[in-house]
Amino acid sequence: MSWFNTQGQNPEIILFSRACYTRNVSKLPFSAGGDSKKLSELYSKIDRILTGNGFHAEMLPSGNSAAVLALAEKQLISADLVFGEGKRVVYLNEPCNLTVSLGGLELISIQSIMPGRAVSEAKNSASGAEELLDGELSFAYSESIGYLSPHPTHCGSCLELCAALYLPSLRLLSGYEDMRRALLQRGAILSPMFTHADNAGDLYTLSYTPEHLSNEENATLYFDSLLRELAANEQKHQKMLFPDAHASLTDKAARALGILKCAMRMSECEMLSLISDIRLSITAQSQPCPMLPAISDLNYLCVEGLDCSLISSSNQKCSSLGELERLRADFLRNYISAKVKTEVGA
Amino acid sequence: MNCEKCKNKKATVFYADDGGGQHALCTSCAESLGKLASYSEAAASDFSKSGQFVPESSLLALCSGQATAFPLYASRADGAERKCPFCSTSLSMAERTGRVGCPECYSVFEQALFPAVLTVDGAIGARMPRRRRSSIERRRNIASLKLKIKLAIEAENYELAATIRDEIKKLEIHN
Repeated sequence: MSWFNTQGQNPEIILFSRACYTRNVSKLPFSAGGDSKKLSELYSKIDRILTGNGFHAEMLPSGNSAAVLALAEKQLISADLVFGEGKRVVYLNEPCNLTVSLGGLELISIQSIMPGRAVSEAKNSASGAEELLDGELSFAYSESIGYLSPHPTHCGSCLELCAALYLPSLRLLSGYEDMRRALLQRGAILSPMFTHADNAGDLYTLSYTPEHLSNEENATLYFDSLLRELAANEQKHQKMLFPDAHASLTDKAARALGILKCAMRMSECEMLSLISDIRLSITAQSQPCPMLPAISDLNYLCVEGLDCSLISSSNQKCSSLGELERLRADFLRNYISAKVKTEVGA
Repeated sequence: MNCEKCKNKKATVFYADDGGGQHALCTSCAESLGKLASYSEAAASDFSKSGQFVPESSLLALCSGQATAFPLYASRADGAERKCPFCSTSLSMAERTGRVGCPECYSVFEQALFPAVLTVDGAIGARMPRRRRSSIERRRNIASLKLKIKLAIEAENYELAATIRDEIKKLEIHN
């Protein structure tokens, strides 16, 4: 099950938690174009290790097709694999929420993504896959610098802990810059999840990279404590902003749902804004209206309604923005009609 | 290091202008000045060849994390054009592309790339490759014991110093 089909802990604020290890191999050039024979042997070796441990391979098409970008939109691969040269392969282990991708700017990328607040679980899962490969391969490592990367500033622990958060109070209270600076001082980076849509949807990613030689367990606990603090902070602000707003929030959410159900054209930005209105009604109220979709449905729409995911999953060829917007509107109408009850429950 | 333009965000894009001046920008400022254009242009070109339409904003959003990052102090390295014997990457080539060619480059150019790296005694629970773990830990134990022996001698605790010396000998023989 993908992270956007299920719910974890604190689902109203934290969409997913992710841990990602990047590794390169010693005595092998970083560029995927170098020494193709050695690289082929390495790929075969990794294939043997992973397919024997519950992974299945998906060869990515060459070039930057919508299918590859769609995987990045779903957070299943990192964006650097999109721009990788040469042969690219993704290994998936769905029961363990694991992805191992080969051929990006970093040769090997091991990622675990779990719904909700589950940093430790994601990190332990990714760590298991990393140790699986560590047993058979010789990773590029320097005692003084850490795990090596083609980019000198990326060397070190080469572990990234990340989470996606829903923080509408940052927009409502104009508190994004203050929060970003406060988190930066604590070593974490807060950034909008959708930079191109003017951060529609109030979704942010928080990421943290432990220093070289730091204890990974402590780093994971530290990041988890940051997430708990952010979630508690957000809930406090929402209670403060909407103390008695049941009727107005429900009305706004119902209107948003109505537009999503009936619109004939829908831009990505508008879709994310409307989903945010519905999400706010769910998170800010202790008893949200039963006719609203579940959080997991909203997460699904946020991912599958994006440009590249839509193009890759539909059989129609889009040649303009207008066609893409119509395609999105069709997708939303069909999904919401099928999933959302129209009668108000007791 | 902060971006020289907005002075707020961390600088992740480093480039040299035609006059040889070094600049450091965050991804947003780099994007606004067209320094990240190469990724989106390449991606857009791929798409136009296949006849598929994808809004450029979506490509730029994916590009925004892919900054070319390179430590500025590499440019202060000695002027000699040393090359990595394994992949033939030179320091000036690495500076231009923002990437080194292979893991051996770090051994060759370590002083230029990381002049401030100190030798660390080690940390409990730190991750390192399994094959090198025991030798690295043994070496760190030896370094730690040598420090203890020095402190024991300063405190005139010669019995303790002798015990530690024997431990070091055992570890060094095993090494």
